[in-house]
Amino acid sequence: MAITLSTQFNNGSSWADLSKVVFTSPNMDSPNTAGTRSHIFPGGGIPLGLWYEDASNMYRIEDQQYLTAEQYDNDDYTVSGTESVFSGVRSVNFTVTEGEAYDCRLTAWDDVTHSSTSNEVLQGDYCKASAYCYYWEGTTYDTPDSITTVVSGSYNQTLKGDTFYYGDFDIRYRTGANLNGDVVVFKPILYNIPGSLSYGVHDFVITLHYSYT
Amino acid sequence: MEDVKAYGIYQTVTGVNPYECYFVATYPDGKVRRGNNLFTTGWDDIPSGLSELKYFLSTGHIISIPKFRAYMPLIEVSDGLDGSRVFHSINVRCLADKEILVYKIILRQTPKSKLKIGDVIISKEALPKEMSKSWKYTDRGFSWQ
Repeated sequence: MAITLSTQFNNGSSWADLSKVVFTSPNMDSPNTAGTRSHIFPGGGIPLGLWYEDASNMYRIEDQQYLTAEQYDNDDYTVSGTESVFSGVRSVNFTVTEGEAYDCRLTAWDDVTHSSTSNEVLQGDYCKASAYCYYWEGTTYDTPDSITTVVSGSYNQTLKGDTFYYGDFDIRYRTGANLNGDVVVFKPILYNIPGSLSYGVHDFVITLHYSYT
Repeated sequence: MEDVKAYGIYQTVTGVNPYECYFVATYPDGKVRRGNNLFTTGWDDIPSGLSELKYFLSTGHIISIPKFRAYMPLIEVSDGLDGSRVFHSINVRCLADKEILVYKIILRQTPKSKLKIGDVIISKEALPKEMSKSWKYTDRGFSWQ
């Protein structure tokens, strides 16, 4: 069955359409300034801040890169948020709104072919994500009545093509009173970027790879 | 003829036009059902009992799938956080007597890739434990049930 996926970012108070996740130097607190530096690493200006952008807005997720710790709280149930607690907001979110998909895999590729890891960031294993796939029952995303795991969460998982990834799993649209999902949420992370990383542009893209009929 | 190109700093990819790729299923009574495109294939809307299955790509390639007991084609894609989508292949799973044969139809190529658009790779899988409702039996499959 064909699948329809909604891809959005939860900025803590509302949902926003997703355009890009970008990394800039942490001292850029202006969205406009950060926007001009998208995808350009400022040489030795690490640690890098993590931003989310859509067509008209940018949101700073973190002012530097943190690893996430495995911790579960029924009120803070997903994978983004503060440095040590996974929370249901400030996450990139794939939601199934129709159909089903098979062999789903969250990973990172070059930004054009989605099939090559010829990229300095990917080759260095610096791109990571903490991810969780589940469906939930209730009426409010932030405070569900209950959640059911589809695939166990993975924490600080390196993403690199077919070598390191979060997957493989099947997802489908849940029907029933107050059932929502399936949902794949994740927080992208750059970690351990060395000062020796070459100056320049190192575009890559985190992708959800899947199959459908 | 190539349909869609995307350029990066280091990579270039050429892909099919997903709006102009579709399947055609033929039935023993002469009826023909045509699919839509790669976004909404229409596969789940056709009945079982087909006698022939072909894929038409926007590049002009026509791929005829040999006759098996049943088919279930899967479109393999990747959605990027930058809004990009790459159609990688159509993996037509074919039910044989003791195994599944997968006909992988390539939908994109790069200058360095060995496989080009329209190429077909055949592989084997074990029989599934459960048959999804998306499997469509052929007239041969029906007669053997």
